[in-house]
Amino acid sequence: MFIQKRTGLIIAGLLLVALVAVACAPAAAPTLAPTAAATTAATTAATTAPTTAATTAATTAATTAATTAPTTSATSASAGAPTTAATTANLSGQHVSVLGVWGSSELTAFQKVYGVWEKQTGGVVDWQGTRDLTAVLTTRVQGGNPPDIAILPNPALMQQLASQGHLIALDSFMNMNQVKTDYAPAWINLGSYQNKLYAIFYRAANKETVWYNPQAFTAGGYTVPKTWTEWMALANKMVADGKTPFSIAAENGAASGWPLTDWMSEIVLNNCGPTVYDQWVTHTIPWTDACIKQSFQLFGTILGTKGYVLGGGQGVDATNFVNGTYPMYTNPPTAYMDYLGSFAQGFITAQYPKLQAVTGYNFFPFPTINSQYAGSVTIGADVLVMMHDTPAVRSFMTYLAGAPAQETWAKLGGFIAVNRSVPLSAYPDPISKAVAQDLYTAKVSRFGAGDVMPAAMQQAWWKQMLLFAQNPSQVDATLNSLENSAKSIYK
Amino acid sequence: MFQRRRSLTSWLWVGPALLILAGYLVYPVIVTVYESLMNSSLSRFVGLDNYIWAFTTESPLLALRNNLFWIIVGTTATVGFGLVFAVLADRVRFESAAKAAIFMPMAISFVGAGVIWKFMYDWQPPGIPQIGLLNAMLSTIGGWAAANHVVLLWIGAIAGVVALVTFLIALVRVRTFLLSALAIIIFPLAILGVGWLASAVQAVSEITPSDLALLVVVIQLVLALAAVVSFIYAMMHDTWGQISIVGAVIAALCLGLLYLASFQPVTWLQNETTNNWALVAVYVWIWTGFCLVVLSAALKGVDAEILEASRVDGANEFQVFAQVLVPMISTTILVVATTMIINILKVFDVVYVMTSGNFNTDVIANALYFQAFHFEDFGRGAALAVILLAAVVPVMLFNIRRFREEEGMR
Amino acid sequence: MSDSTTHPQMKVRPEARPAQPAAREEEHPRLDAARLVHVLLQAPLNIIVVAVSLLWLLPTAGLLVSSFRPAQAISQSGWWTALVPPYHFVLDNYIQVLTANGMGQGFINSLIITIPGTILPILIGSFAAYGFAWMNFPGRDWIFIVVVGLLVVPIQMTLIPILQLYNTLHLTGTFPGVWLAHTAYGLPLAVYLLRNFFQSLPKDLFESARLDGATERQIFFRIVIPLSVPALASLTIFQFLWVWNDLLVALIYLGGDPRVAPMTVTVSNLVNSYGSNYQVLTAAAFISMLLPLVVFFSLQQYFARGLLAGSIKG
Repeated sequence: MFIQKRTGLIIAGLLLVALVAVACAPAAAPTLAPTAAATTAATTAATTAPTTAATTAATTAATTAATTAPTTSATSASAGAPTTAATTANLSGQHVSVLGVWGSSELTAFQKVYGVWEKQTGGVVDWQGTRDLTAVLTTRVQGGNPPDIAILPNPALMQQLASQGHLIALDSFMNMNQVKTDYAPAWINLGSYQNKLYAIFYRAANKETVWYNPQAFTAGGYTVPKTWTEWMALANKMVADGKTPFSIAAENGAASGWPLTDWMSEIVLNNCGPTVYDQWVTHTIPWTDACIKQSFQLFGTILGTKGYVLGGGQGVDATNFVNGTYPMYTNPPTAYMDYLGSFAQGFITAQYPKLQAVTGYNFFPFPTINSQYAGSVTIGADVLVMMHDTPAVRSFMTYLAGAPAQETWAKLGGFIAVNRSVPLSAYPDPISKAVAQDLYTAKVSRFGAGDVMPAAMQQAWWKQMLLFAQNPSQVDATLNSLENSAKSIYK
Repeated sequence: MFQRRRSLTSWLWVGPALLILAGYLVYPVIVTVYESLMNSSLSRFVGLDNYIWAFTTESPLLALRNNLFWIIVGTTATVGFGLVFAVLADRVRFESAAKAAIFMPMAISFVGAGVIWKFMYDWQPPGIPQIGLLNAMLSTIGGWAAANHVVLLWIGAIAGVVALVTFLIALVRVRTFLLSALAIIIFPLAILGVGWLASAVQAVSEITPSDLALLVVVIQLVLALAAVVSFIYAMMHDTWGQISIVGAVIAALCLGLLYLASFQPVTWLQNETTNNWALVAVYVWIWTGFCLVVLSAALKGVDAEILEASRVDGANEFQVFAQVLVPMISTTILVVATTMIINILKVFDVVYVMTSGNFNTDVIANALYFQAFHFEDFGRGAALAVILLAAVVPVMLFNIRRFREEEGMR
Repeated sequence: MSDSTTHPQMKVRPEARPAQPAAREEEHPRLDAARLVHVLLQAPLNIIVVAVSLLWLLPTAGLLVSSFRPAQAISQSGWWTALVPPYHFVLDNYIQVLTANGMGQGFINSLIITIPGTILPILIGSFAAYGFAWMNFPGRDWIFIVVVGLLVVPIQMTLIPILQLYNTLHLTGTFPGVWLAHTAYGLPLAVYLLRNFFQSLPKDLFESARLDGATERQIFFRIVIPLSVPALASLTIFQFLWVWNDLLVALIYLGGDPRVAPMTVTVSNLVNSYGSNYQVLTAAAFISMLLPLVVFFSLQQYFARGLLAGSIKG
């Protein structure tokens, strides 16, 4: 009987050896470290000084607007290929690894986008997806194995990586004239660190959108509010009619709370204006500042008024933000309005494929709080950064920054381009067109506050908002706690 | 003692494992210990600052406390269920299928498990159909109880009266029973006493109410359990007592149903009285399979003849279990319990995926993950990791003592 | 407590023993009435075991039912409502998973990662466990306790140092790199469990084998391994499913490159960045669960009682 056992073991051992041999062979090829030498890259695009027209545009826009309406000259200029380098270089067989959070239909769309580049240049894009991007990227950067390109969820992370010297400056090889035509100065500022451009903003979200069901509004005799006062009056009317005005949902796993900080960002920007907003975000004024406090009280009124919010405070914390977009469209509706960024359109159409845009579901812009700051919009966007310098990465990065690549995705839906040379005609439905239009023409726009604060502050704020949802009267305690966190985080 | 082989050969046997462990685990541990003495970006030596932060800041302390809760409840439940079920399953014909049912959650990826428990714990506002099984079930039962509350009230009242009367009869009939009846009076007093003592201690000390509350609840539970067990044990010896038990159970059932009549859906993962239990339940659901399989393998090594012999000697099944079976596999129980304590000590994914530490559910491994990988504060992250390492030392010392005993005996 | 009760190893008998309680009964035939009483007494036991099993299966049953429901229905009504007519089951979720880009490659990669990732730690771990259990060398107990203590090291803390090491050794993105990592992460438990099991083997076996002039290698392969099949089998199951379900290690050391990424990475790409189409994971969970369950059932036979005694004989 021992002989049998031994033969079995020998066979198992041989199998193991064979497996090792087989697996080593293919595994050796896709080593992630880039091989091509960066210095040999033929960079044709030089950084030329911005034209006077652009400079004036920058100075005026920097104070008031993030994104100005695309000029006719800009649209025509961008119609061609972004730079010559992208199309002429033969990058056959060169790999570019891209780390990002996209999956499902987003990934399919992005694959279509990079498929065009792969065909043009012969390069290969290796998509590396993870939902826990910050942690994976941190690990890989610290471990000395960053991807070639990373798609970050917020500019705070980009600023941090840039300050640590992990990013490649884009103005060393990109045609900055083209970049300045394509991107509004505020975006360029946001993507710069110490006057060097490190990031391209890619897939934007307009966060002024309050989603509602127009048919339900008509049936109830409700009209779209223009101001905060009208809004609250509408809410009171709904409550009087025995209806629940608001659906607010903040649950999202490890990122729970962000829909509430989005609410606060929008309120603060519309209530206190961009100057206070910027000071607040950079913690040059404390959280206990009078206007910030007043903004919290405004939101506290919504959260705390009986009958306003579906499920009350615990409903806010326990409901997933995606599910929070549904109650407006059930029969009868269980809530009437949901404030959430423009991406909510995707959730609504996935759950209710038969709903018609505009007539079946629609959005109204966040009501004006202070007429002085009417039309202020908070925004969000994914951030493209480059972590290895090879010809293929340069070429791909330049391609992604250009209008054609973004137009490809915009046509597929679920994409609002930051590149203002993307024509509005690219958007497939009236709602995304309106969302993009509002984004380009907004008088004042700012990145959502949480996304530009340090990660620890953002997290503390998320947590604090979840508690605030259940105790909306505790404005002072909430702000004091946040101020304490801020003091230890901003050093 | 038989002759041991030369130590050179033995290094050949353990060498490969030690080499790999040194590279993959010991080396990172050394790096971690070093990093725990550095600042957030690891650029400056800060001494024990990170540890001082960990032991003086509210959030890591809360995580530590939750870890303690996890270890007590989680280890007891996984090892206890695993052991009991291994013994029970051993005696049925469909053992393999029954074990597979308990083992199944282990085979599900955690991503899948997260989705599963979404369907269990989901919450919808009252008045809207519940999608979560738990809330749906309790709402339905509650609705039924509300509709039949008159009947329930009558049945409960009659059962209660019967229980009381038969209890009094049993009290008179059985003398030994007097003792346990006394216990039933003393125990509630003890429970009240503990609560009173706790509030007194709290008034003069700086212990936070929640720490104390946990301790008090544990003590009270143990006392209540002891009271109920001793009571039932005594009652079982008398027919009237048995009737009384049945009556009491029915009364309690009716009371429970009436309580559910006013049931409002619970946000299991957000409500701070339920969420830690809800998270541990998920963990227990997953890991009982591990304990079951290992303990079951150990049970297979126990000679059936010994069990049979003790049965012939007149031991009942419970005695066989407690006095023969458990001691015979005690080393394996210790191994499984140690493994579970350590695993629970570093519990991460259940918490991260389901609440990510919100609403007072934070645990050390989750806090560590956020510090190091989200906030890039590697110093603090490392300090928390070192605290985890230090926390296993007592467990390991206990194991070492156990080895020594084994050594001595063979 | 007497020595005999704390030392199960002393009680291992060299005769094969009948396994099931039912089989034992046949040794002592009883009257039919007694048999009936016995069956009735068994009934509560059976009911309890069935009830607990069903309770444990309930959440998984919810997942199974949900995986056949349309995505829109999952977030609108409880899964149990699908069990009453009119039925509306669809295969959409499964089709979406099975036809996803790179799923086939992911499955093959998962196998390439998992098989050595299971065999290696158990092989190396059993060598070490044997050394710790039946050999004597200076510092043995302390080294062993450190090995067990390493169980507590959170994997996350090892990622950065190991990744740095891998970059210099060019192991990043390669299968051997992942095998070694899984081996290391699995070793402490393997060594701990197996040492405990080896330790409980009867001392007489080793003494007589050594007296017969057997080498350590012979003792290990001919006596220890065959006798430890239940322990090895349970360890194999766990290591297999941990490596099979792993996402983190693969993501960090392999980088998620589609050519080497396992199925878990492919599956995670099925969910969009908002997690709004998480329903597809219901089907993915069942598809990825199949192989671990097959392994579990195929190793079940090694858990039977009597196997231990039977292999000593002969």
